[in-house]
Amino acid sequence: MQSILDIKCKAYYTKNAKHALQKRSRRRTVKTRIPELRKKHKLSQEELALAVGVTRQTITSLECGKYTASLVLAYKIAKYFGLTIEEVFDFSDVEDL
Amino acid sequence: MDKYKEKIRKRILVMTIILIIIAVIYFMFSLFITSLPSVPDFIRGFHMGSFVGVELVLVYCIAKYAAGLRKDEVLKKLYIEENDERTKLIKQKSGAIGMEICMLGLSIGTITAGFLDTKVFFSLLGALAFTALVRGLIKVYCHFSM
Repeated sequence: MQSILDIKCKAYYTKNAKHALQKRSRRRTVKTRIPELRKKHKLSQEELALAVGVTRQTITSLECGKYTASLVLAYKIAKYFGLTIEEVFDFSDVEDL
Repeated sequence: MDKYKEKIRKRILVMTIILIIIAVIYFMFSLFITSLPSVPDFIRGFHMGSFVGVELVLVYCIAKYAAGLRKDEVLKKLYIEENDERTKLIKQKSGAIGMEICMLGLSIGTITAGFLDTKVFFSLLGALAFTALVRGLIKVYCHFSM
């Protein structure tokens, strides 16, 4: 049988871990519209990667939010789609910091 | 892409020179091995493995670059692989973290060896000092170059 202390600790841990994860994801990722734009232009990840001079894995990581593009890459992607950087990447979470 | 092509040509030349030098050194070693002090079989095997390994890596790289020079598509792929920003970041991060872990391991090893053997202690201390020196110099270089 679980004691009250265990339950309290678990609840405290879950709350803290959740908060930390949210904070981490807020800090690290910049949301992108790349998948949407790719679909619109009927492009594969490989084709886009070749066009902007990176590997397919980089595009995958960008789309998943695991990696944040450099200013140069962000510019290249935005230019490729004929948009501005802000129209491709969502910086609203970064502005909150 | 022309600049990169030229870079690749230079790399092939340098690698070929290194490959020949290593082959000559190994050939000389095998010729005069009787006049050298005898070493345990394991160490001899390690030397041979290192030489052969380096030669194979060099041959592989030369073949890869030569293929790039022949086909533009392969060259572009090589260029992208080499200049991909995520790959570069991974290399930098893994190198930095790896260095920290190596230094920690060496420190623990040096302290432990101090209780057991003086020769091992000084060897590890030398390795630790060298690693710290290299790290420090690279840090100073990066501070001034960025």
